[in-house]
Order: sequence, then C-alpha cells, then structure tokens
Amino acid sequence: MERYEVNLEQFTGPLDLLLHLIKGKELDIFTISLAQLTDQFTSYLADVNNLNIEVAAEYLLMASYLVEIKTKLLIPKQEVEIEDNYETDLRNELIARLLEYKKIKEVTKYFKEQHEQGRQYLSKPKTIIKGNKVPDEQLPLSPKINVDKLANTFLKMLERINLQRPLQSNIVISEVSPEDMAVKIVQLMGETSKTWLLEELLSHFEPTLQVFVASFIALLDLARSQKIVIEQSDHLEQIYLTFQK
Amino acid sequence: MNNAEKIALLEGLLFLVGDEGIMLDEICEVLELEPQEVTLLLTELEEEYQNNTRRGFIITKFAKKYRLTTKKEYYSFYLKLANNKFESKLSQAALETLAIIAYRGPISKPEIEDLRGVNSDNVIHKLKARELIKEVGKSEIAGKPMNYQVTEEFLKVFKLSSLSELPELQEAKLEDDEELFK
Repeated sequence: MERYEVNLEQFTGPLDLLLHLIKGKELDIFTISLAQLTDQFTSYLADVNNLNIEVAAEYLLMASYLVEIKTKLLIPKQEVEIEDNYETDLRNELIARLLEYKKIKEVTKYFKEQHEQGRQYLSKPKTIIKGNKVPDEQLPLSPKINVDKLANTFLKMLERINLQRPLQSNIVISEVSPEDMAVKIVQLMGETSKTWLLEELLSHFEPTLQVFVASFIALLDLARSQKIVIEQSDHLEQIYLTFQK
Repeated sequence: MNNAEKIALLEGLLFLVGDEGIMLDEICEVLELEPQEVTLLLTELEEEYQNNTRRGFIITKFAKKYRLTTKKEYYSFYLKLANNKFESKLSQAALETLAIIAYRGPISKPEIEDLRGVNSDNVIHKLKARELIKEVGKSEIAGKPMNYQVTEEFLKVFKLSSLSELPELQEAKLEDDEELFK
C-alpha cells in the first residue's frame, strides 16, 4: 500500500478514498475483500495527522459504516434470517454508491478537458448600442399593470386629501399611533360582520398621511395576529378586509 | 446588398454581440433574411476564417448561439494580457459536482451530497457564484430543498451546444459481487 505518500486533501471524499484504495490494490470493485478494505481505510485515517474535524466527520462516518458491515460478517452464519437480509442490503448499498460515484469520477476527466479547450476561445463582452429602439412612452410598465387604473387611484386619493384640507389652518401636531388606529379599526369593524373595502374603511378616518401610515401598520399587525383577513383577488384589484370574531 | 456586403454585415453583428452570442433567428431578424440564406452566409464566413490564415477569428457555436471568438492556437499569446492572479481553475470537487448536476439535474443538494459522500455547501456556492449552475424550483423530496441545473454559461465554458452532447456515462458491469465481501 502506498498510503503514506498521499494525504487526505487529495481526495474529494470518503468514496474517492475508497476507490483509490481499491485501485491501489489493482483489483476491481467486485473482487476486493471488504474486511481488508475496512482495515486499510481505518488505518489510513489513523495515519493522517491534523485531521480537520469537519472533513474527518465524513470519513469517520464511512469508516463506522464499513466497520458495521465487517462486524456483521464476523458474526457466525447461523444467524436469524433478518440479519442476513440487512447485511446484504448494506453490501448492495455500498456497491451501488461506489459504482455510481465511479461513473461520475470517470467522466470528470472529460469535463476537465472540455474546460481547458473552451477557455481558449476568447470573445469580448456584448457592445451596448446607445439609441432608442422603442420610444419611452411605448415601453410597457409591466405586462400586468393597468396604468390608467393606477393613475386614477392615485389621483382620487390626492383629490380627497386636497378637498379635506382647510383653506387656512393652524398647525396642530396630533400623534396617532398604530395602536390607537388598531383600536379604532377593531371598534368599527366589530360593529358589523360585513367584508370591508380598504378604501371604505379608510374613509372613516382623517385623511392625513400620518393616519394612513398608522392605519397601514395597524392593519398589518391585525392581520398578523389573525384578527382580520386581508384579501386581494389579483394584482391591483380591490383589497377586502374581514374581521374575525 | 450583394453577398460580400451581407457577409460584412454578419461579421459586424457577430462582433457586436460578443460573448453573449446570437441565435440563428435573431440574425435573420437583424439582417432581414431567411434562415436558409443566413445559414449559407454563416458557413461562408466560417470557411473564410478557417481557411484564411490571415484572419484571427473563428465562429464557434456554443449553446445554439453563434459567437465570434479568437482562434485557440493563439491563446498562449493572448494570455499575456490576462491577470493570472484571478485565473481560478475548477477543483476536482467542483468538476465532480458539475458533472452530477449536468447528468442528473435538476437535482437538490442532499441528493448531490448523497452521491459524493461529502458536504457540498461550499462547492455549490462557488459554482453558483461563477454562474455555472442555477436554482430551478424546489425538489419534491423531504424538506423541499432547492433544485440545481447547469446554465448557458456552463455550456459556453465547456464548449457544448447542448447537454445531449455529453458522453454517455460508462455503466460499470454488475458481475458476481460475492467476492467483495468475503
């Protein structure tokens, strides 16, 4: 065995090391003795200095797996039927894993060569051509958005705020907290069992930005605590609110 | 426009699209020509590059797109322009993981780790950062982990037109395995 000449970093994992051990013996997967393989694998791990614990975990797992199969083999054959089946399953599983891994490992040579070749053909990044292919006003905003509806809703809200604004006023700063708004919303909605339109609900309150923001937070909080259900059938459709009694 | 002019137009177009490459139907759209004629023009330009040693370009076809690239025989000269510090080759672990994703994709991380027998967080993260693999929805297995698949960049880097060009995996013959566990 040439195990002293190699270190663990050369392997991509326990399966890789197992294949190396099998290859080192110049035997194929089907003819090597598992008992021998287990001994080599475990003694290999014992010889590796400074085993990185994270890397080691996977190798140790494989070692314990191998030892488990080996132990089963040492038990006299007159065991119960179930034990035999279990043992066979473990064997088959390991063979299947090794074979599957071997296939992948062999094909990596091809990938390495293709990569070497591919990188030798050089090209430049795409040139960005400046110039308007589509006039700005014809650029779609998003396939689903109805621009008229979006604009109208916004205009309606602005109009409402403007109408409510007094011609002259003294500046009074009134603090409205989301908690206050939550109490008001619950009071209002609790009176009936109907489903509310968001706009309808908001129309009951002072149309100021502060109230809007506080209401918005309050609604989200109420939805989170499952006191209300917020529904919208589609993007930009009406938003409905239902109070959960 | 005569044939020579059409070829010049095509050459310019290939130069502009650069490493992004261009599909046949996109060329047809820009040149305002039928696919048959464009295919002929492409062949003619390809031959011009191949046969005329005075030309430094070649047309390469990766991932069904035509790209204008330099000839690989001069790569070692062009490499002088490169900053070798940033040249990172793909590790054995990365190649293994890529191979698994190329053949078995869409495939999730736990399934990849099962095949490799090692944790693959790091290598998957690196492959994603290099845009060689991408997330494609969730797997049906327990915990619904993300599924991964190779990207167009993968096809470009590995000089492939499509995944069907990959060599077939060599099935190991399942002989009598009694000997293995004696």
